[in-house]
Amino acid sequence: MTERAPGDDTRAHDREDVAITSFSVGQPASAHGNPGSVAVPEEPIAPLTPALAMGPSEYEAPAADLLAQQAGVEPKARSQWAYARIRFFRHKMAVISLVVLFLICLVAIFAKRVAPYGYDELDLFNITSPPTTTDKHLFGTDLLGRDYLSRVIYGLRTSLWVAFFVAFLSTAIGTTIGSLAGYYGGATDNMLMRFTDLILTLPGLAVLLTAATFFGNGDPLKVGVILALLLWTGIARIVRGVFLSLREKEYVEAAKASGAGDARIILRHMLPNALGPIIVNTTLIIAAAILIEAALSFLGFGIQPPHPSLGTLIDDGQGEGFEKWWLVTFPGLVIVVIALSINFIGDGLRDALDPTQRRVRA
Amino acid sequence: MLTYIIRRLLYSTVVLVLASFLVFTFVTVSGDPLAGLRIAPNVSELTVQNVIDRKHLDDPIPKRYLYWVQDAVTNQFGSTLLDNRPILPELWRVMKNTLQLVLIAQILVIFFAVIIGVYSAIRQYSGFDYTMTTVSFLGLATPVFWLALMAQVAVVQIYERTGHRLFPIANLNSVDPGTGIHFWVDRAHHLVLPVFVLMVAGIAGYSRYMRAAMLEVINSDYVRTARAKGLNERRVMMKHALRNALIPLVTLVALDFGTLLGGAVVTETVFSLDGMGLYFVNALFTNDPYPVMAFLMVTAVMIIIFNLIADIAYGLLDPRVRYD
Repeated sequence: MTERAPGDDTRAHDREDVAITSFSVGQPASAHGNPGSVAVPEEPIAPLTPALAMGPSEYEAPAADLLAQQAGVEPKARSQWAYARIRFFRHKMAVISLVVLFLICLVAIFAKRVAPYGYDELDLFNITSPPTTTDKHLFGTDLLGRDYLSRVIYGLRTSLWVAFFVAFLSTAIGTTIGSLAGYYGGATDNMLMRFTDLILTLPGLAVLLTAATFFGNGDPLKVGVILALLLWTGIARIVRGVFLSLREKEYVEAAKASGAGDARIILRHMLPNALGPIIVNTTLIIAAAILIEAALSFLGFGIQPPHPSLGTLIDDGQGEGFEKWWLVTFPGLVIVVIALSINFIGDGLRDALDPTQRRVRA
Repeated sequence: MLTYIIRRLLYSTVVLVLASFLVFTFVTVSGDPLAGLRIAPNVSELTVQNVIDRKHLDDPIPKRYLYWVQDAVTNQFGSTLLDNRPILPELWRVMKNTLQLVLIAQILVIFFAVIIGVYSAIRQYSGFDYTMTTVSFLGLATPVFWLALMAQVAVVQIYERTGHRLFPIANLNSVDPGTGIHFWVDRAHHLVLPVFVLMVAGIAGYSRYMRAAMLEVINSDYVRTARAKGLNERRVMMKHALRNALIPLVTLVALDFGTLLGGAVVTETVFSLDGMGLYFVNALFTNDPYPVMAFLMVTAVMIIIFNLIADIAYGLLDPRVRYD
């Protein structure tokens, strides 16, 4: 990596060779000689912060193709998705996170086999025992002698289920509203977007808590629905934006001219082209949902005790007093790991699928 | 500009009225706030009937909504359902506490976030940049309530092992805080942990935003022009780049501040700080629609006002933005 001395100036062309060395994996050394045309990995943007207006994005051939070109060979034709995959796998943290998340999901799915004990199995000889590395209770036990590792695993299962459910439902709502608004424009657009604004004007967490108190009864499904009903606005706005620009494309005009109906144009011609931003934002919703569900459950407005969720576990744990640090620490650590890996995956996916959000080369 | 502001305010009023009716409906439809009172052993039928009469609980919802509007406008949001305490004075009191917490945290957040963001952008892809990127991703992935609990756990563990009581882990003041300077020293001591917790998430988000904004500006033509004129790097960064990069941040801060005045619900709950957030959570637990409504309205008004301030500030700071 090129280190500049302090006070050295930072003109654009100076920075290009520095830029190459970001999250890139296996970037061939010869690429450094060609700063103008080398794919420059995007630097991560904070998840869930509104993206600033981006300059024109630059599609660049991945390094392998570049080498092929230099060698005078025709680069192999690849589909957009193949390029996306290449871009994604170049993001080291995203790939690691994907593996981590995959393992966590496996643990959640096979909870019954993985967990050493049942989530309500009592071990009355070991009440509130601290974590031991020897055998028995790796994460310690709670006030009733229940194995905490098992409880965390079952809690993980609930929390992940809710998060994926929220992501699915809010994406469905947001995509529907966004695509209708973007495709039809005019009065439809105005009405739908004013409605979206209305939701956005409401103080988020407060409305969430109110809704959860008055509608929820601690059932994971209901908590999921409430979360989804408030989290779709971001996707709706993004999809609308994409659709507004897609609407003017020639192929849409061609489809119209050949007599395709609105539904067909939206579903077959426009939606596939909006998939990139949708997938990226769905990923980020999963992370947000995990965090919000945990906070709700912790405050006592989310998932209630018979279903262990990570937030509920932390809430119960803090009631036992802070000397029993493991009751609070472990479920929280799991949340951090999940949210962190999802954010990294989202970041990698943004690099791969949503080049419009790439930063101009710095 | 003026017409723009007036139009925005009119639009916001309509939204507010609609939203308040929606919220009122679903708050009143979905729970019986008197359920607890009815089953209480030493409460007579008559008392329950009195509450119903006083709050018109027997009337249809639109009518009750109008009663509520009347109360809200003429009588400072009326009083709580059961013990008949006035609502608005209580809200102002807790808002002052929230304001202290949030203002201190926000000032520190902006200070550090700008320094980190700008430095990360100027030294993009340096070791510092990477470290801060990783740290901020970590900060964004950490649930605020858990961080707050871990801070408490840490303080308790330190106390148990060494006997040092570093910081108080709950409340805004000690039982007997004293007066004058002693009171404020005591208050500051109590605010250390909550402010720290609020800072972590805040700095993580804002520094990324600041970095992105700064990168955008550094690569713009006018910065290149400034360099071409032969200005030294420091002057280019401070006068030409930083000032422009701060514009989006100002907007973001104004937007967030409206939300923040609604209280840091989670932090206030964990540290039992007597602020807006805790007030709201307690109102929800008692199932009392009136303080809930009052809280939602006050915070919604704050959000609308600060949204407007954000837009106006943007127009003033960036002459390319026009409102017609």
